[in-house]
Amino acid sequence: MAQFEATTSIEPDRVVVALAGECDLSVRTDMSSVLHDAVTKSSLVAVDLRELTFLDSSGIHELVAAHQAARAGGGRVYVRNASGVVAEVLDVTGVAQLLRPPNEDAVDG
Amino acid sequence: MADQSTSVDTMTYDEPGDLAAVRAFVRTNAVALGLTHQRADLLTLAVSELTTNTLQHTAGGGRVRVWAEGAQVVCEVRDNGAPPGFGEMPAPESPRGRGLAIVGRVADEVATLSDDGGTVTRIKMNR
Repeated sequence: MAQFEATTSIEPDRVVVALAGECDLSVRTDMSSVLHDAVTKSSLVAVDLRELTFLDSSGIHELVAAHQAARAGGGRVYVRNASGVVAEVLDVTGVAQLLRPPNEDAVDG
Repeated sequence: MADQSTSVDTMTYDEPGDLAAVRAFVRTNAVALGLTHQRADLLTLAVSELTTNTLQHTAGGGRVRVWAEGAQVVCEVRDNGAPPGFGEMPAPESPRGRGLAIVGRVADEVATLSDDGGTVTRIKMNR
């Protein structure tokens, strides 16, 4: 089983979900429920990937599903602090751009 | 005792809980065979997507082997499924269809062989 941990903290203007370890098919249900809860709590959700060492397409699927759910309610989900192969897979799939932080909207071109 | 010059390491998998061990196996062997950590991570990502595909779309599990061949590290995934298609990357908003597209994007070379017994996919990374 993958080592995976999700910690949710509530800030005045957003909910932060910090992911740690490896996110794959074996933890998809946990990932889905933690993101779903965050989206229902706040219209702005930051997913912090600093401690995440692996992310696959099933994890990306859950991030995109959370993004769709947030957007349907006028909210937003973004990712931050991705590095290494986690940043790589977000770039290759175009999801890094889709889930970019709000303060990077201006560089859209 | 195994002949070091031809030794090939093999690992089997048949449930999602095995995927982390498959990744550790591939990463360790790929680095030992001369890939940089960064490229070993990409090979590991590709193999994780392919083995996940086995678990989601075929009836059973599969087997992974890693070895070096000339200037490349080769990782072979064998399962009982039909040959996978490594299509275009779907749009960022798309809910599905990324797994095999990721394999196609991060691997230097992908070769697939199929017969009645199943499918063998070889992912190759330049050393």
